[in-house]
Amino acid sequence: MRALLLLVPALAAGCASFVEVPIETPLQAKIDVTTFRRVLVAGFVSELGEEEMDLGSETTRLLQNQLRSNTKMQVVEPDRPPLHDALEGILEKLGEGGRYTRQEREQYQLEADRALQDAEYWRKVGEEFQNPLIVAGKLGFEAQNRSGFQAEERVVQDPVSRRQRLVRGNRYLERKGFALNAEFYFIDGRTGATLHKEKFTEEVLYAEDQKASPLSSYFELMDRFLPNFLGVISPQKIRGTRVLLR
Amino acid sequence: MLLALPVVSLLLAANSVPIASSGDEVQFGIEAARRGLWNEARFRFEKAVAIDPDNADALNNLAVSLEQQGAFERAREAYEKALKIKPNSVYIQQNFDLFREADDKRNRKARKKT
Repeated sequence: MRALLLLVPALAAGCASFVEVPIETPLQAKIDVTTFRRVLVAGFVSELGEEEMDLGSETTRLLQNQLRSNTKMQVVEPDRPPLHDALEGILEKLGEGGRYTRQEREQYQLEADRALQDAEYWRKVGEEFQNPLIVAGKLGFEAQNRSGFQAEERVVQDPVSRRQRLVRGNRYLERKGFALNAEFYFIDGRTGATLHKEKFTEEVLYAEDQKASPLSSYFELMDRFLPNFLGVISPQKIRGTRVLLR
Repeated sequence: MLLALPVVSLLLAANSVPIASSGDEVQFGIEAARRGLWNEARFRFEKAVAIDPDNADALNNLAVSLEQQGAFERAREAYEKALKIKPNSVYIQQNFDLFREADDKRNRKARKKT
């Protein structure tokens, strides 16, 4: 009898009327970059006074590597990203470096935004680097503190009756981390026109006992952006599973 | 007359080969899909549906193969037809939900593009 009981589920599994299969569905690129033979990561605008790490350089290097291994375009590597020169020009107008007032920061952001949207400027950059697809943008990286009381439920055993019961309460949780905001501009180096803009925001939080450096958090967050960033210029695949029926 | 004889015997022989059922085609298609041969799988599922247009399982499988090959509009039609025939199938509904989820993602991308 016991053998029969064991046999029934086994038979049922053997005669299962469905099969799970992995599938990959194609996802088109957002912009057609087939006419570009080169790509230039021209640099990034970040907030003034972020000295903890060089966000612009790290991002430039990371994107150059990704573009090299995920696209057919030749990655142009100038000694200095061209946007940095334009940003330095803006800083010179603001006066001495070091500590900036709120007004100066706002002025800088405004001027930097103008530079990012200046088609004539990008056309000249494009001319200098043989009409590539230009990638530039804005970055923001901030420490986050989400510590506070959080509702929680615990199962406790009554010492007298030995019965288990649910206890609701609040517990203070220390959660700190980082947030990364990025806006990428994809610019046609032949005309200076912006082909596409893409905004990303991601956040990572750590518990009290977890320690993470800003740099490692930055890479963790960029890692989440990258598939979507690459999806703008190269076809991607959505992986999943479906059930086939017999 | 003599020349016609081999042709007739060939036709007779062809007639004696049993026509595969919708279920046979589905089974063959599943084996092909498991091996990643999605062109063949789609062909078999299409055949299965042609033999029995009310075979919801074949329609579901055809939808999956169409989805895998990027023919999303036809995949949607096939899923919808399968669900019309078998409205209570958890598996077909689950596939269709996953399809729609992926389709939304694709459409959001397409909308941003324009």
